[in-house]
Amino acid sequence: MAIVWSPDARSIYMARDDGNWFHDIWRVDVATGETTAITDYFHTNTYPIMFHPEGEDMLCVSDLRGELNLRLLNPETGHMRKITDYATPIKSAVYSPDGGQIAYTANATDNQHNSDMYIMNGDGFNKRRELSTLAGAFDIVRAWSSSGRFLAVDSNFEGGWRSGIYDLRTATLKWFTPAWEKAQALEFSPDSKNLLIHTENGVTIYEIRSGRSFPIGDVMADGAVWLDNNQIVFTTAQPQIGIYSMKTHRVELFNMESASKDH
Amino acid sequence: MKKTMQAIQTLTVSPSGHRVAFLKGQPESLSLNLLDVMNPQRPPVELWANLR
Repeated sequence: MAIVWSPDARSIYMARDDGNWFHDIWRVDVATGETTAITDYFHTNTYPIMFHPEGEDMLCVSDLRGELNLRLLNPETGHMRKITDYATPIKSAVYSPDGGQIAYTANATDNQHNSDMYIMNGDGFNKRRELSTLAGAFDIVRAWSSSGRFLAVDSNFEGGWRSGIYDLRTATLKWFTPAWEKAQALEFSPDSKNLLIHTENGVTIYEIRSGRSFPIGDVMADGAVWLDNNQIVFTTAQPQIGIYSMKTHRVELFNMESASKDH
Repeated sequence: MKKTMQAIQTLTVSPSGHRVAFLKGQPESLSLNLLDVMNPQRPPVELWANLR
């Protein structure tokens, strides 16, 4: 379940089932805690993905009158405009740093065991398939680097789940994790020099240029984000939140029950 | 059991980088929480309880 900050950090948007078994997008006012339903479509699931970098529309996915497809949501009015129309659900999507393009994961083939990476303009036009490693493999885009050059991708084209980067400048792939492991790319560092990947050994930092890796210990999948270029915030199963410094290689853990510092 | 009950998921850093929003709990009773990462020893603020 995605949590999306508004660009001004005054609100948080997230999907919520208010009891009818379907998810709508809700806004939470950070200062007051006031909650507001932004979408309210009958028998429809709608989930936020991310704001346009300039903060106007929100990219979301909704199964309104069809499968889960990408839509641009006006967070003030709740109005949505459909920008993809696939017969199978969209698996992921991410804006380019300037918001001019969207990379997304879709399947336009008849093979149910397949997905490819597509890129389109930010308004939904000019769709093109950018990456298909193998017919019958799932290729999934996870993140777009701030430099605009790299996309973080996962693929099971060799059986396991590999994570790596797709270089838009050269149209080439570079895998960081081995074919036999199960990995998932998380996000690039703000300076585009490193990529977080969740592997079977926990979350690991991969240096884009060299491919060198720096493990930060076992954490839950989906539980690590960059705080800045040198610090990572991550979760443990304790439950704790940790902060890892790339400068000192030290981890500080904070118990989220009492919020007392453990180490 | 307690560990499972209180699982933390879906970390997201605020645009300023000063706060982290996260979900805690089980799918049927999640809560949205905010942690001030400038002062992470302070208890997180529960912004919205009983989500699902």
